[in-house]
Amino acid sequence: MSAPRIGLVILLTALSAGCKTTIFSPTPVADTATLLKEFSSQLLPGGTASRDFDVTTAGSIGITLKSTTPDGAVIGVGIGIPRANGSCALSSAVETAAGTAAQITLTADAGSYCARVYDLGTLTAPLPFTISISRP
Amino acid sequence: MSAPRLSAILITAAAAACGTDTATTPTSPTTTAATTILFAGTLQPKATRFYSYTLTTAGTVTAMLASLEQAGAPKPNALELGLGIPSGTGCAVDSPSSTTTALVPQIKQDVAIGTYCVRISDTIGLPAPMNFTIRVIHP
Repeated sequence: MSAPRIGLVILLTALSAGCKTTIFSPTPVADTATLLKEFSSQLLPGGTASRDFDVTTAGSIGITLKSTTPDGAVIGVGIGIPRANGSCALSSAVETAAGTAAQITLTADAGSYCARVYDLGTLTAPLPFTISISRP
Repeated sequence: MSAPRLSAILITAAAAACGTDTATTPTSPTTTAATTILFAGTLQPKATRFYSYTLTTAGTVTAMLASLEQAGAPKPNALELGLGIPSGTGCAVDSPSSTTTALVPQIKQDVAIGTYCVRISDTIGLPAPMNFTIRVIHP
């Protein structure tokens, strides 16, 4: 084969290779961002306090009683779904003092939920508290 | 035809064969808004409660026993939860599921347009009447 022909073959091969289309399948991006909602209020003796929140994606919900004043007070902390009458119907609850780790963690489907704190019958004065809710 | 001319023609043809990619905008899938029903009430020991609803669109129905409380405190008692069809004065359920509370769907059923029901039963014997909340999501 002559030199020009060899060059032509090499050139055409290279051009043909250049036509190849590589299809990249989209890689699912894991949404690991956790939305955090925090609220503070006062829990009255014999009372309850609740806060509604929405979850748009199924995933893990964490409820953390972050602080009480005074520190060390044990109260009820729960998670459930809001009822039409405005109450928070509990699915799960714990009796706990404030801490840094979530006292309740559970998996939930997308939907409306609520966090509720309540007096276990031990409060004699209003108890300031702060609670945080992490959700997908 | 000389080799250089042939090369030029082939290069042009090969380049044209590569074509041009056309970007297409993905079309959003059509979705139907789901309807959420909260069925709440008090369940007496060894009793059954049900709630009927009508579907105007075929699709998947899910149900969860979201809450079971006694005096405001959540309880871990297992109840029988089922999706079925109204029958006489009751709700006929094919495959009831024994379940405790959760915030994820516990039963699922693919159904056509029609009237259906969700049923909750205490088959074990609750120690006292308890308040329950069931969340049903349907098309």
